[in-house]
Amino acid sequence: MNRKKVQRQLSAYLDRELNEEEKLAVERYLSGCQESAETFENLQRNSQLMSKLRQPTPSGIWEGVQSRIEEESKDSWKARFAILIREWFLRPIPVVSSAVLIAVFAFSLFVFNVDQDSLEDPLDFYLIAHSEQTAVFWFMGEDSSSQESSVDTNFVVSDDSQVYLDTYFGY
Amino acid sequence: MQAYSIFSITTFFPKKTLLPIDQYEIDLVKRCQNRDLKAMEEIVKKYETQVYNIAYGILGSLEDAQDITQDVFVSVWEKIGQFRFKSKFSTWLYRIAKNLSLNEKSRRTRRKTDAVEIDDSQAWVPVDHQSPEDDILAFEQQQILHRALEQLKESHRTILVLREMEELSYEDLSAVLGCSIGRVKSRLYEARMQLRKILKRENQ
Repeated sequence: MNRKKVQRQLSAYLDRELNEEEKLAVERYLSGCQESAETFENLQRNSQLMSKLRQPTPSGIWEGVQSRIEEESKDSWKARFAILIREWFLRPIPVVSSAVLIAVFAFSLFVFNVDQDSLEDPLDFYLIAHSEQTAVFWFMGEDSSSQESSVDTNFVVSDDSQVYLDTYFGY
Repeated sequence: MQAYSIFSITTFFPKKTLLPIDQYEIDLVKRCQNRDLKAMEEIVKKYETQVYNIAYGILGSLEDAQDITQDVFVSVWEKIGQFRFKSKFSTWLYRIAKNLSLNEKSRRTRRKTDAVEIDDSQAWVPVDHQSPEDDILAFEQQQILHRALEQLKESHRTILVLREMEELSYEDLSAVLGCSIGRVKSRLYEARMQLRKILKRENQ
């Protein structure tokens, strides 16, 4: 076995990674070559020195990890919410038009007050009030068919309205 | 009869050899994948020393090693769903530790804040119980060793840290570094010879 080959095997010999035959060949060579033996001792010493670099772990590693995990899970919710908002703003036309429609609907339901006396024909009041109430039932998630209407139906309609009702509703 | 055994079913479908991973660790990892913080705490406590020392060996700074150790475990928590039990959990974890430490190292180099000299104010702790004189001598040796490690190529420094400080087997080194066992052997030889050369020069 030549010197170069032995030198290349010294590292594996140090780690006990050679098979029995290779190990014996290296040992035989080292006993006869002072320079290779010194190289091996050197490698061994450096290896021991490096193993002494190991340091004990400082306390509080887990506590630090835990707080960061909890912080990042909060941040992930914030990030998801931010993405949602950003996506909304990327589509302003449908978002704004939906918001306007909802606002108008709510305004007409809760703010616009129908005064019975202001209407000439009681049928107009009946239709407006009845549709309003149906919409309120729908909005509140109630079944309008099972609800009794509070709109007063004891009124006399004009001749024109009677013709209208006869034509379209068969009253 | 012999002919039958030659052409047995195992010839065509060899049995899969199970990885030597203990069942308790598999359960721990599975619990972590189900977002169990108690299981994560056990994993941190089990591996914090190894991860901390890999980071310390590569970065050469105790303070940075502590930060990177936390980064590694936070990253493990985030990526543990991707672990498919095809390798040992420990080698998967060490690969993350190695990669994050090397990233931090190159980030510092890019920012030119990477001081080659080791910060003397760091609380270096002698591992063995020795006399104060021995401690000083050991501390000086550690300083020289750190300086020598800084001068090594990144791949040489990494393999030395994993082998000499963490005592990883050649098989585990091959899994962590993503190369063949033959390459591990030759790289380790080159790294050791290079370190020897630098230390010889430093001691002169």
